[in-house]
Amino acid sequence: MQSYEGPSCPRCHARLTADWIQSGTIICPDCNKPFEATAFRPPQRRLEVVSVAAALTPEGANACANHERNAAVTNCVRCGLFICALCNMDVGTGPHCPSCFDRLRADDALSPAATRYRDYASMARIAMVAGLFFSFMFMGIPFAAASLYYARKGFKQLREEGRSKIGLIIIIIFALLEIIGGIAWIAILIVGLSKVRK
Amino acid sequence: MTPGKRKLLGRNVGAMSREAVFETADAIESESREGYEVTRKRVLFEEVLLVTIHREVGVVYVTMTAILTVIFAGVAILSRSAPAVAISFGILALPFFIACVVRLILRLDYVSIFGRRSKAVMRFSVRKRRAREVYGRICSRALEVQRAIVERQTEEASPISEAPPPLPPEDLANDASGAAGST
Repeated sequence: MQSYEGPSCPRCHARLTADWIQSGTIICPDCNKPFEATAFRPPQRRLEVVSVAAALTPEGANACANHERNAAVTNCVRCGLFICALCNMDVGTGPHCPSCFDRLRADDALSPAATRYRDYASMARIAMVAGLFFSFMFMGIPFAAASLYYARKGFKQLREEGRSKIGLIIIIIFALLEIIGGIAWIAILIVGLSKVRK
Repeated sequence: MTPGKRKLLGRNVGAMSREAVFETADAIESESREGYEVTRKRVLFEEVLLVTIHREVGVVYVTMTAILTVIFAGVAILSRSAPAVAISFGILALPFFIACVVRLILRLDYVSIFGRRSKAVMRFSVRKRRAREVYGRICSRALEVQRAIVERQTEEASPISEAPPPLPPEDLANDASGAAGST
């Protein structure tokens, strides 16, 4: 995964310096092509963070190495420096002080601010479709069972996210039909074979 | 996992990537898929630095469809002596030709959102008005959230209270006045 380095030209992906980040039509200094932009000046969370630091730490706690008036809330996992909530650069990789964060980011050794997970709903859907395709080879039942297993996990995932479960319900209905069809198909074959023997 | 409702804003489907971009209460969420693995990135409205919109053709797409059109059309022309083969290849060339022409006429609208730590990109091939709407919506949401934070910070920074300090309890006040009278 490519590391993100801040705003860039949406056409050529050349990094845009602060001077180029402005509202209106911007002409990229690299590719000389225009694009329309709206720039923002996001507020620093300083006030909020300082109050959080004050609320979280007991009196007499260590001072932050960068802000001596702020109480330290943790220490950098890389260099051990005491840091306040303002300096804590935690993007899911543990607390880092700003300088360690910059170094790791420059070395591309910092995990991106992203969440990775398995999409069980997709896995259930694919298992169900595979079961439909291979049902004539008696593979419908194992694929349907796998589909139901993934659907169960998918249900939990969707519940956590608060998303609609209609798609999964349809998958479960089809998987159950596959199992019933598979059992019926085996029963028909057994009955047929027994008749042939007689 | 992000609990709560989210609304699909757009997609960014390319030859190598497949992303869906959603709007949540406090951020733009971008979900990219690699097989069964889903990677979810968030661009918080309070961290949005730049939102851009631009239109481009997509040179790779146009080149690929043009090459395929030329190949199939070329085979169709070369095999004129066998009409069935020529017609088959002509029919094969047609969708690529249409895709190439449609792309050249309509082009692609890209909406990109750059945050402090991540970015999200959407592209709209046909719905140009929708691209504008999404661009405007993201800008207004980001502005709204960032303005609310600034307002909250200024409120917190302002003096806590302009009210006069509380008076001492009555018995203490009486004692003090008694002592003043006796002297």
